[in-house]
Amino acid sequence: MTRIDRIAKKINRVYPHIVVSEKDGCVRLTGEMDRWDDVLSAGKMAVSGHFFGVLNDIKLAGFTQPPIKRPVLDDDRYDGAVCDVLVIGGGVIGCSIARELTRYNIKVILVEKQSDVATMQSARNDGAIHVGIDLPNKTKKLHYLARSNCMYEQLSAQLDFPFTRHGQYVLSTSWWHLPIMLALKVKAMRQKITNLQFMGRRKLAGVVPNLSKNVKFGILMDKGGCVCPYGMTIAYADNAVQNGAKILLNTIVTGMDVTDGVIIGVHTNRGIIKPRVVVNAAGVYADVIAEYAQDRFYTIHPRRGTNLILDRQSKSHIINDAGSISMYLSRKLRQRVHSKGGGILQTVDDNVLVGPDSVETPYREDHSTTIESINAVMSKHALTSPTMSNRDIINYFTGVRSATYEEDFVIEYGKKTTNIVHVAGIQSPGLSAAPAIAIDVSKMAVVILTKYRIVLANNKFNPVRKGVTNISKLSIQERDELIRINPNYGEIVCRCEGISKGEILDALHLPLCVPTLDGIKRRVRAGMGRCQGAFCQPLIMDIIKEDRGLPYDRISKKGEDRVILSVNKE
Amino acid sequence: MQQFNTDILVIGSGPAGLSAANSAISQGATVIIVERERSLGGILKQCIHDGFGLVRYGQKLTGPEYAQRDIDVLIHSSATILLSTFVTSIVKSEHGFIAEFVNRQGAGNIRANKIIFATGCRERTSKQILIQGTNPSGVMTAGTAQHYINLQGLMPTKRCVILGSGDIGLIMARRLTLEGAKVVGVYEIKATPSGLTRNVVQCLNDYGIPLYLSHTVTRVFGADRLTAVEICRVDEHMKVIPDTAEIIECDALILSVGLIPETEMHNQLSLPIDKNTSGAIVDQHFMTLMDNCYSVGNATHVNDLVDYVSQSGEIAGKHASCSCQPRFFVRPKLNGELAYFIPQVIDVSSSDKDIVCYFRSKRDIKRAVITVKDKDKIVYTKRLNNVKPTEMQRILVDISKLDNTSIVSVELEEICEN
Amino acid sequence: MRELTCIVCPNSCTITVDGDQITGNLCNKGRDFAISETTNPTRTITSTVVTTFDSCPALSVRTDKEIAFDKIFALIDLLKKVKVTKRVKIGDIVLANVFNSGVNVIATKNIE
Repeated sequence: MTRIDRIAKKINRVYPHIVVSEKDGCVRLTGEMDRWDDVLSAGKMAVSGHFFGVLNDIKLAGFTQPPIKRPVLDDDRYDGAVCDVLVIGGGVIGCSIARELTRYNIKVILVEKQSDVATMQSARNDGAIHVGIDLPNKTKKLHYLARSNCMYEQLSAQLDFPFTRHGQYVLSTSWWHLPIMLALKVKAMRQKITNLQFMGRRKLAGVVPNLSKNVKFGILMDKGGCVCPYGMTIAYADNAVQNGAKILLNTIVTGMDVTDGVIIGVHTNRGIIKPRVVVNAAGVYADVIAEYAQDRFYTIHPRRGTNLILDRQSKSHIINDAGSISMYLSRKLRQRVHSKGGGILQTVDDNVLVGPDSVETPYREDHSTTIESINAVMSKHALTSPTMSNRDIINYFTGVRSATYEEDFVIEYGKKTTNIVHVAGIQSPGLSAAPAIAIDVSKMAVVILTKYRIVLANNKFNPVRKGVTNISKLSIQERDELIRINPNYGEIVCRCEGISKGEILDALHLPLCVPTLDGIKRRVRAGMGRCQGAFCQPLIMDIIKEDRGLPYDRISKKGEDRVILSVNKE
Repeated sequence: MQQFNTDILVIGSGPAGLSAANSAISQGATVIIVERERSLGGILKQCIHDGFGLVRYGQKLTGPEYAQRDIDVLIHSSATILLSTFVTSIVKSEHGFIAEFVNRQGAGNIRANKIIFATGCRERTSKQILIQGTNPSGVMTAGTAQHYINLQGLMPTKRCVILGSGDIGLIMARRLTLEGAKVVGVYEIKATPSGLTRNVVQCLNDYGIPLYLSHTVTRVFGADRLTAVEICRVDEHMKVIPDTAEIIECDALILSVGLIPETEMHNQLSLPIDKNTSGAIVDQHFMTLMDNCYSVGNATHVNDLVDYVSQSGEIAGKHASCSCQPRFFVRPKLNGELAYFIPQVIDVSSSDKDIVCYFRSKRDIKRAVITVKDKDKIVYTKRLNNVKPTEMQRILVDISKLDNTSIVSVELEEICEN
Repeated sequence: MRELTCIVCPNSCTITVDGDQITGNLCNKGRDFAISETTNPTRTITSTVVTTFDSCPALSVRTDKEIAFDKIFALIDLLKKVKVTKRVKIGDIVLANVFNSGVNVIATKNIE
């Protein structure tokens, strides 16, 4: 019996109508099923170390994937553009790779279909820098996390994005968990990423002021940290642009010309781009891009997660200068709250973030929130801090993780197509692992490139990027001096976050300019406070209008929309 | 760095701040008033509808006209007015308070013996009422829509749904209709309108705009701009009734779903907050539990009428211009149907006779009686008709008989017919 | 018989008009309102007009007296055509004697 037969037998025992075949070194599943859960479970059963990956082409009965969200833009502006490396996808992975590639004297273009970088997974996560204690050995996840975790101090200083290392806590409600925690301690000592320290209730109460009575003990892993995830991505993107990369927003890849296993043209809504090497960092659409490249050997299955942001003023009763706090749940409890993972986290901006949950879905781009997820997240984490309430919530958002059936990162050269590197299946701890992934992938791309041309170091590469100075964190004397040089720093526009006109103008003048309300909000936090922009939105519109010369009815929240529909004054 | 010294620092120049400053100056105090916007008047600047000032002036003024009366007094007084000036921090010092601020001239600080917070309130957002779905543009508070239309002449919608029947929501329904937008309807989660009845009549009925009670918006749709909202009916506990969802196409959802006192400054001084009002706990002079620190207007509790906002400023401004004597508090215990009662504490050491008290009921009561007692002795009692949570009640209570042995309770009760 | 809600003040009295009998009003203003509402309903209208000043793109205005209810939208159309080019103060007439009714539209804001 061949390997594929064995897999087929295993799957057909449960799902007799599914056809299991081998295709290009992958396990391919076809057929039709009525439940998404069954599609997933068949996919998981097909995982085998002897094949490249799983191609789960089982159709879900009655379901059609909504069309991919496309930009409205349609021109030929970049038709015929030539580059050495084309990076597809402007998430943290794509942007960090683009930045690492600018260390060489090569021409780099990054395309992103949204109107800003970091709008999908890279923004819609909790920003935790993990320690990998839960990761299996010999996975790419653990390998890249271990290398990246220790890079953050230097990176955040170079690229000027906020980062804190307050540690990760795991609480336990039962002494029966003690052996599990002891095993983790041994694991931590072997992995050498973090120290692991046991903590009693008394010490924990200093971290969680209203600690649940059920908590018996906890552990602290000191190398846990937190970044602003989109802030980090934007920083990478800015630095890439500074060093000569071109970032094309609102640009979607629609197909590829592949001849003899080589991609020679990449079709976009802005013309055909001709790259020498392609890096596929397309997130939930990575397998679609792989298919365009005639090199698909994995399948992305989307997994939703919802995070809640609580008012900064709720911080005092929930979490006290700690990093993230999660609860080790017994199986029974896990079933009751229908979610795994996640925690309560003090963000780099001193808000409290709660979540995420984890829900499998066939929809790749559905970021709409549901009340069920909100309630699930709140009720789960009330186990840690019972004083938390819905009244504290100021915002919430849903992200979609791009998981593969193997549940590990795919960081590989093309299997059939020779000038592509796949960076797929990057989900938790993908953000934490991004820095080391970027280094390796940029080298892989250069290896391919050297077949075509000589690659030298970029002598002018500047690793330092300056973000927007948060003047509210300066001393009163420093502020005074700054305002005397530039009075715009003395004009406060966003009252909740104390953001000045000067900072908003700085955001508009960063290397990657995104003159939308969300673009500014994500760069300087204007509109991110408790009023959620109710007061400052009209004022920010005025600044964009003045600085960019855009009329009111051309200014948008995040791209194609319009905030103002008509202007009375001509 | 800019340095100022003053007797009284007023933060905020809306109706409460203006009247606090004016009344303190008229008593001879030196006053600095700080405003973060470019001009005085606060939110009244954008409230161009009429109906302000009936109590105070016996006239129906528009918001800007109402504000201008106080502004005219202020700008001809001895007050130091700092516009476009944002207070960044406030701390208690040995002799008073130190406020740090920034403006286009630089940073600076103000040393004040007394401080009056007149910081107003802010609107609840779609996320605070847990509306689900996507995150498109076109979802905005009524105040933001009002700013665009009334101050900038910009139209943020052509066809909208208004959620919440608070006064701003009703007034915006009329305003949007006059400006040519289609208001599909005003939806209210409660079984009764939240705004004044006269506003339902003159803003909705006059223009044939439907009001749907016991309805709410549960979801929004649209990846970029809002395309539609989902509306559901709710039961008597305001819980969504399944299978009543209706999708309504619109390009904007305008929210008038409640106001919350702005207490970020108060929190810097760790002033105790009343859970029921979400504002600071104050005595009858609007002094908070911290001596020489006042909180007035909508920053303390959300009023229905600007006239009473001004009045609270007047009371505080006048009191602040005298030296503060040691206070002795009695804390009225609230009973019955009271949602809140202001003052939360009564300073019985003062020589006041009649003090102004404000309260709201928890529910609609046709005939009610409010009673203030000291132990078993009735200090004040009054019968009231049509008491509603949406309409603030105001009474004058003689406290001259109260002293530091008093145990005060306040009760609002329904009177059964006959 | 007709039941009205008085819109003169926040009391929002429910007034019953039955021929010459007017009941339910707490004050005389309510009586006047009921009479006018049943014979010739009128309203004060507030709106904005465009200006040429950047500091004040929209100038708030109101009618100095009430105008006939059925003239409201015609008035709004008139206001859309107005463009204020001179600095005005509260009370200054922006549009005089609209529809020959003796009602003026006046500014409710100063242009600084």
